[in-house]
Amino acid sequence: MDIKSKNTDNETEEITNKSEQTTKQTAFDEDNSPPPAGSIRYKLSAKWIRVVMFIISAVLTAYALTAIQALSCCEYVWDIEAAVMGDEQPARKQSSTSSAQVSKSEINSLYNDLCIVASQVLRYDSIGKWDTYKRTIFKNEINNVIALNGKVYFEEDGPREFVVNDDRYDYYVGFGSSYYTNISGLTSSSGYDDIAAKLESDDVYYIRLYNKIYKGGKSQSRINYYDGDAAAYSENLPLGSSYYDEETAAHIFCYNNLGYFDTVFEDEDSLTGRFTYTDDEGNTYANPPMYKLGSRYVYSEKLDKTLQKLNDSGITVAIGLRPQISKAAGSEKLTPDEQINLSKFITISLFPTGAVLFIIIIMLMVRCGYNRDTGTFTPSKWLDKRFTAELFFITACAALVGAGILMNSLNGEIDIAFGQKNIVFFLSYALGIFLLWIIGFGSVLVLLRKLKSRTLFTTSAVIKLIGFTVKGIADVIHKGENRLSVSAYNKLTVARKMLVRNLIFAAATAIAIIFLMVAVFENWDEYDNIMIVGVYETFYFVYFIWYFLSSIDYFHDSDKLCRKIDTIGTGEKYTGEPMSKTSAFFEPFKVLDTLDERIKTQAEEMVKSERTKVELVTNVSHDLKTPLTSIISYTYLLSKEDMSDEAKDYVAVLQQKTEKLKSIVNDVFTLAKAASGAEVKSEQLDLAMLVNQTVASNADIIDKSGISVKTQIPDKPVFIIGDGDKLSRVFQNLLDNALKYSLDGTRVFIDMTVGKRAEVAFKNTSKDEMNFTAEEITERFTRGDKSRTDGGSGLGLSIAKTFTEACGGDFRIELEGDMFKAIAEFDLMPEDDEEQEEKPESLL
Amino acid sequence: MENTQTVLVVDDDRDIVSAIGKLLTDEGLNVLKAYDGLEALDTIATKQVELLIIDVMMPKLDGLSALMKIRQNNNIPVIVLSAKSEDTDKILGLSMGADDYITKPYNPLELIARVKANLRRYLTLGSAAASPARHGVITVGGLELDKETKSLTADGKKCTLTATEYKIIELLMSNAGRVFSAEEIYQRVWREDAYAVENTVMVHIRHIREKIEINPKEPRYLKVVWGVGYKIEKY
Repeated sequence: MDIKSKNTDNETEEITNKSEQTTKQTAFDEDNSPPPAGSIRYKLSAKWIRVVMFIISAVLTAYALTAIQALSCCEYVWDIEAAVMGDEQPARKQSSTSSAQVSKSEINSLYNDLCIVASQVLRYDSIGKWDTYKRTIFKNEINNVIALNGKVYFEEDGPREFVVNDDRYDYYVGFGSSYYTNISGLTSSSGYDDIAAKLESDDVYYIRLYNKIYKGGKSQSRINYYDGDAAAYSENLPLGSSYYDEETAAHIFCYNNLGYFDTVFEDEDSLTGRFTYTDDEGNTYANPPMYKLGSRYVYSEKLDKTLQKLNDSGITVAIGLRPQISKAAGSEKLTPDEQINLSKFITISLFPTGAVLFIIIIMLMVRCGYNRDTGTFTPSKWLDKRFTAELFFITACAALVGAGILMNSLNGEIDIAFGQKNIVFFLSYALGIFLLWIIGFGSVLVLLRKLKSRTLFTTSAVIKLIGFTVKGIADVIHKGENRLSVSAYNKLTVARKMLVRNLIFAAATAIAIIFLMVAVFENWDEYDNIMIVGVYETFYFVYFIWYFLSSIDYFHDSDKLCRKIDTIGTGEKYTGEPMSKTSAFFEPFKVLDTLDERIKTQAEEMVKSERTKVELVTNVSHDLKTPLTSIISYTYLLSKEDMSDEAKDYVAVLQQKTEKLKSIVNDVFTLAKAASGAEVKSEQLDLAMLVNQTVASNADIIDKSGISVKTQIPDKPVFIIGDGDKLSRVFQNLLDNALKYSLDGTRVFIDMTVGKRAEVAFKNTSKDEMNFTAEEITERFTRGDKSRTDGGSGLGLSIAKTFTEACGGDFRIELEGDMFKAIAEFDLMPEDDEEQEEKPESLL
Repeated sequence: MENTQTVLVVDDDRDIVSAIGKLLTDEGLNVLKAYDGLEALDTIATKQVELLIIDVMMPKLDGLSALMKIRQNNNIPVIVLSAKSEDTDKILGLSMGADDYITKPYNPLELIARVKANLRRYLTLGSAAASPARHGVITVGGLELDKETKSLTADGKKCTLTATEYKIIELLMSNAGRVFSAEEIYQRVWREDAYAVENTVMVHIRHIREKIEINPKEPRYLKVVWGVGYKIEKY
């Protein structure tokens, strides 16, 4: 079908491309596109065609297999080679029978056992009545020796009830007057001729009389033994030959067939040759030896001993393969000509049958499940979707096994049926094959269909079961973890995990040491205790190795963590390897990651917002200063004009106020910039000198104010880190403030004390009552008198506080009665740096 | 001589230009006006200008860019007049070639003083600078110290100093840019052990400033390095 459709591919492709748009949408490749309705390809894709082909395949298979079976029954087959070469002579074919399946070793081991039976069991059978106990032991030992292939064994009861459990053989075994056989008409006195005549086998037979061995039949090569005189092969002891060792008083016999190196003798010291036995009633019997698997002597070693040879002349063993039933029935009812004609027909017909069958099978496997309307492979609703894939797999296997059983078990019958020309038998045989094929091949096709439509695994019960099991196990493990507080351990912080780890390690180590010490000093020699110590020490060793390795991991991971912290501190990028997810440090590491990110984004945002703030301040400053410039300029010009005294006063006021406005504007922007944290320098400076400089540079103002300033400042330099310009502004403002609001005639005290920090205090006595709090006064635009009439912007203390804090100091106001105290505190510079400062001084 | 001096005032605020124009005209200077950078360049190219006062933030071409162009082939004194009052702004303006930097809102008297000082330096000292350096003369910016005559000239104006003041300024100018602490200055000038000398030194410094600086509150030459000492700014 597919082959044919390929021939028409060129036509259909054109049609496909021209006709439907839907084709293009679904056309991932040419094979998947549905053929246009009405085309040859479409017609050939019909499902019923595949069904018919499937049935045809079953019929052909049934025919082929049945024909092959029939062919195997033919004794005279048509020889293809001969026919081709023009030679019409029929070739006789060796038909396969079940007798051919009897292996060489099987025959040999049966012969082996029968020889032992003759030499040992039947020899002593004639000695007399055994006591039950001894007989049981004897039989057990003999069973041990001979029951190698399970075909010969003793039954529990009776004196000599041994069984040859294989009806494919004719056998005879005897010693003296005792014998056992499944051939009728033989007696204890039967000789070779009698036995050979009674054995029905034409295939293979084997007879031993004492050490004389005869073999015969068509397949006598399947017997290992030499024929002729067994004793002539001096290196070997004849199988079953018996001896009595007087030295050790042991009864000995040979039970291996090719014994030079491995011929083994049995002895039993306790036997001491007690060959007579007296029962309770006083009757004396000959006592058979007791066999036990005692010491074994290699034949060659024991030859120098005086071994008393026992009489083996009574041994008689014969085996013959029974002819098969098929042969009894014979295939002679079909003449050779008929057989040759039949085989000729079958052989010739098998070639086209096989070829067609092959094509159909391949085609069906490729095209099964194809839906010509959608161009895809779809599973059938009533079969594929209802049952799991495993079911079809099982049915396929079952069909295969069924076919095997059918072919094997009817082997014999088929020969008979062939001979009897039993058509009904062959038809039913073919029907069986047909049904098995339908089931087996059908299952294979269903599986293929599932595979193609991607439903094999989704419908598979095993997959579902595995999924279910895995989920179940995961659930159980999860619950177990909760219960075993493993998850509780995982929730611990790293430090606690380490603690738990180390505690466990310490405990385990302590126990290991104590165990060792106890074992050494207490001289423990009890096996159990030593075992416990050994097992524990082994476990401890493994644990120690694990602990050691995981400690290295801990070390590496904590090292990583520290490096990560370092990079966060320095603001660099972490370039080390990432933390593995299984590490105990994974969580902290992750937290650090987020922290790092957050710090960076925050820093960026801060920088951005500061920049906008500074820009804003700058712009507003420009916008305010430009008109102010004009005002100041024109006021100045105005003051130069000729005008009335009154007008001159007005202009003076204008000038005063513009000056004030100027200072306010400047202060406001200074403050705004300081508050935004922009442009604060960090330099080393001498706070003592700074305060001195401030006071000194204001000497004229101080003189004018009429208020004296008392300073108490250390002679030694007091080094701090700060911005000199800003701090000078701080003290300038504090000094201005003190001078402005001090009561006339009072003193301003400037004290500097150096303890843990450097502290500068400005103290003055207020001329007005201070009706405000320390907090209020540092607020912007708050003034002591709240009137805001005289000079100053009201920002002085605000600026002082802001600048002090910008330089890393603390600023506070203390009020006590009329005492106003402004205190600025700064961290001292570390001692080390102070020494560095001294160097330039020493150079001077 | 002063009558012939021409000052170009450039600012986008016409009122300010007009006010400055009036201030300078009153001082007997010839004033030209421009309202953006390009205009200023045109005027400089076509007319004789002895001094330029220029705003920074202006349309078309800002003051600093215009300054850079002017400086390519002109060495007239330039005073930058700007509302930007940060140190960095000042440093930027001066390093771009400005001779002086005045922040808005300016003090009219200071402006006049600075204009005069710059003109003086340009016209009188400029020629002096052109002559080979005299022996024993230290020049720092507009300051000129003659060791032979023990005299100091600030922006071309002779200053009268006391002996101590002279010694201090000589010490600082000889080591322009270096910071001296009050003790060090005292030790070197007075040649005595220094003890609580901050006030003494500072008083002298203030006096010197009043003599050499146009605006002693905002000194250009003699500066306090807060918490460290004093220095003459190196130009």
